Amino acid sequence: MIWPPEGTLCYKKTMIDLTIHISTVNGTGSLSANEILTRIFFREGFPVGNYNFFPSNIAGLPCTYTLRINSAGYISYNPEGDILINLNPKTLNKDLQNLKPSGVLVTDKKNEKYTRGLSFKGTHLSLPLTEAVNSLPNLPLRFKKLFKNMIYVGLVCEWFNIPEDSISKTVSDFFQRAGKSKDIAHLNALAINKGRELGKQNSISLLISKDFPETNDSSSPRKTGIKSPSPNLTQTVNNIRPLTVQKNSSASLSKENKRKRILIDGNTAVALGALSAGCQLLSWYPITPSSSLAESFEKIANKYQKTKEGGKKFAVFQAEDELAAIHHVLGAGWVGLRAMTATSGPGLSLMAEGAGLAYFAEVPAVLCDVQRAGPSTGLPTRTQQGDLLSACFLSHGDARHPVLIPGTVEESFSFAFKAFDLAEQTQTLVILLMDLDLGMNLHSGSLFQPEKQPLKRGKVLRKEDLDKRDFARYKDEDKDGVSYRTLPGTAHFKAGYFTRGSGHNEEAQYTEDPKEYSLMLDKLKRKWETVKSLIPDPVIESEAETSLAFITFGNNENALREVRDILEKKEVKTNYMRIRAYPFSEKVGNFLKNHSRIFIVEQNREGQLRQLLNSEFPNERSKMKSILQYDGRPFFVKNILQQFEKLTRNYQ
Amino acid sequence: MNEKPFEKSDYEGAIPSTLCIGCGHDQISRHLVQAFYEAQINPFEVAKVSGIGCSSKTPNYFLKLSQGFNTVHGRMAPVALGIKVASRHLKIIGVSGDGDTGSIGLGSFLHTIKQNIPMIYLVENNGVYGLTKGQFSATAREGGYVKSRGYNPRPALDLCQLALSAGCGFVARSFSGDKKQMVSLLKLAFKYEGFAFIDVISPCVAYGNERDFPHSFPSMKEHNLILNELDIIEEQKPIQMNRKEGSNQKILLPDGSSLILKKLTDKDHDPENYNQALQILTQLPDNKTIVTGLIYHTPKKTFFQKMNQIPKSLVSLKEEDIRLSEENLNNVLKQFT
Repeated sequence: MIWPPEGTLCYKKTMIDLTIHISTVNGTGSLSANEILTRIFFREGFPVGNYNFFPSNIAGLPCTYTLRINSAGYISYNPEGDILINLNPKTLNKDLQNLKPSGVLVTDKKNEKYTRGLSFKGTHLSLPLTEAVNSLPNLPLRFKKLFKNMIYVGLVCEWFNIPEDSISKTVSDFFQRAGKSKDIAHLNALAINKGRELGKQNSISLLISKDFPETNDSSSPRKTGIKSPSPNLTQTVNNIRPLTVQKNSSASLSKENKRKRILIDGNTAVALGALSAGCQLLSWYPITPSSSLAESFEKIANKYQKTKEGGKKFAVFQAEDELAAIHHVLGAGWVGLRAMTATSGPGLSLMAEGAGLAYFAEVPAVLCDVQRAGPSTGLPTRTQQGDLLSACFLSHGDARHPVLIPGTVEESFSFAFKAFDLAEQTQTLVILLMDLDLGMNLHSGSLFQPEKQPLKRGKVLRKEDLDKRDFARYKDEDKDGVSYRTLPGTAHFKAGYFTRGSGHNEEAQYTEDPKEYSLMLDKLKRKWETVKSLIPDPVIESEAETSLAFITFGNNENALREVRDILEKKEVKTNYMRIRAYPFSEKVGNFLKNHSRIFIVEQNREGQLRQLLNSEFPNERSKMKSILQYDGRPFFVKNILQQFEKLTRNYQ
Repeated sequence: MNEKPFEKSDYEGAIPSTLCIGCGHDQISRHLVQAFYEAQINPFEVAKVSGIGCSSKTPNYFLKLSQGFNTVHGRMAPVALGIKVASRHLKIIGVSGDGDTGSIGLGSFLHTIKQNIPMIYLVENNGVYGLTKGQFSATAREGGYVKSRGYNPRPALDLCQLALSAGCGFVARSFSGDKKQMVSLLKLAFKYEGFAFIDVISPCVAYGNERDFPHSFPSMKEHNLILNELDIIEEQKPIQMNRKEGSNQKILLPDGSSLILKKLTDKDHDPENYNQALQILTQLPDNKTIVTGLIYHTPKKTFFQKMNQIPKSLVSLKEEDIRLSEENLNNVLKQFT
């Protein structure tokens, strides 16, 4: 994989690694400010990573946004901040534990009574943020709380010397997309300017480049894409104004290149993939973190998938519950419509019976599970990868389902598309396994490339076909486990059959005959083999001659890339595989065979991927060890490194 | 119309019934065959949907040329909704039971009514769970007696009342033993543009046929309060009758035909009056009486009209009409650059 991705900037002289924590109260509008700040840096060509640590609450509880800016593209979640902007004095002491001792703390002067006597040794700026808002002329009262957030946007932009026109363009684009008036955008821009004034008056000194893997070979196109990093990786950048980093002229961004990159949430990417695949029905029940998927879908469909006369060519149902949602999809899928549902853990559980029906009655359907933390209600607004096993084996009996697992926003788009082809090609439920971090947070990626091939609609017999052939709904004519189907409304006397989840024979007739019944189960086993040939291969990086390997799935790639580069600097070479689908292809088994010390990195307590690999490749069992994190936050580098070091010691 | 009319045999089932001899459900299947045949509905344009239970096996016993989907317990309504929304030219006949509708699928029953999805929703209501050996269902009347279980201590849910309060524009009840009434109600339901609910008392000969069990044949023989007789006049010809005349009532139907209702009780029930419909269900003379006939009939906007869906079936659209174009994809993505 080429890194950094085409279109992002590299810095020649100084590498930047900066993490900003913004601590606010939820419901005060900080989300918009944080997105604007992130987009400003993104548009300036900085690789950005972000994670919104928010409560399951409408207003009044603490909320922390993490923005990581890293010129090498190491943008995984970093719990250690260089800058802490705290607008919520209640959490100040706790937030300070995550601020580096050398870091910069920004608080509101209004909160001075809480910040007096702080034992923080780094730079503390108590700035008149509220005052700055109050000084804005003619600002309606209801905006005051919201605009305090824009002040810190201006402050940070000024410290990074972001040109004013970049800021105002991002602000106006943001509010235009949100459907707000130009006046609102203008007022926000005024507030940002106030923040910039504060920034001018209060410059900071900050250590912003450290802990980078170093390479002396400037000619080798290393994965990081950094040609000649500064020899002194721990230099202090004083008064980052003007910014002392220099843009690498050869890699500076042309406008065209910039346009190729997008910063988007995975849920919208899935919605776009589904709509590009011709999905016409989405039924869902509101649940964090999948709601924004359904709402994006509806918004985009309302704009683009109507006839000239305004008639809808699609339907979106906010169903009475998840039980109904999955069955709406099955009804539509049975008729031949591309349909999907989106949910999260608790909803996935409720859909289990429908999943079994789809499996055994062989009805195409797509289910997107955006994973959140925990069993039961768990932590609805926190990320985790704890649904892997439930997704693969959702429902009772011997049900199992193909699971596609995107790890990037590009894959969220393309796998969503693929899920519909696969569901119809193999007449079964396909589960798209996302997680909260990928689904709800903003991730950068290249412009999505839509599939140009015709849709793969699978084995469907039309009226004309039935004139020439016989038809038995569940007969395995091609010995690939996938039978031919007719769609309701086919006006042919051979077409009709009674679809059922109960025991059936090849002609779809009810049967309790042991032989006929097991024949059906064996047929579905053959279908599973067909599925294996149609799913995405894993991403493998196995250039190094080493016995050490990391295996992961989903959205852990950024953290692992950084981990592997750090290890490589210490002359510990590792190989890498990211699994992108279940069932596993042959390549997964081969990768396991070729390595003897394998670390399975996943965000759950039980090592669910490890368990799956253990059961599918029992001979490789003893090689696999788990590296886990399941606290509701995405993986961070230190945690992986610590566990890795401990485990490698034990191997020797 | 078809060049050649469909024969009655075209509407029969694919296989003989496996239900108990004398089961009310088998009577209903025969009435369905008769009604579909008389109305000459194209069986290729019908989709049969059912849930789980004895009732839900029956789509195998009528309309063998139509596609059918035997789903899971309580989910007939949402599957039917998915089918109808995907393919609006299909006529949906949904068959459910009192456990399926009155308990496990109650939520979806009411919500599908609320959406006003055009379909016929038939409940084959016998007051007991037959397949699991006769437990009382949610519709069994309080105090009803069966030999295997004794007296039912729990109050009943009235599905017609529930349908009415959820906003159903077509509410009827029938009795499996009353062929004439059920066939005429079905034929009226075929003409209704919206969710048509028919609750059919269909005795279980194995577990619920005691005289003191209101859903039984002997009880229905004595306590069936028949509200009206239906007569559909197909062609638009002058009928010498005012809208209301003596004990008769005329209702104009959307396709130009008319319904003549002959009233049979002293209640003088007007099925176009919502309050009367609720009253006739709630003010019963005793706990054994079951009201049958057309209870409520009023036009309502369907899902398709309310949501401004295209007149074509969604599933009939061509690939280029359903895929988000590359141009529009890029229009969306532009906002994220």
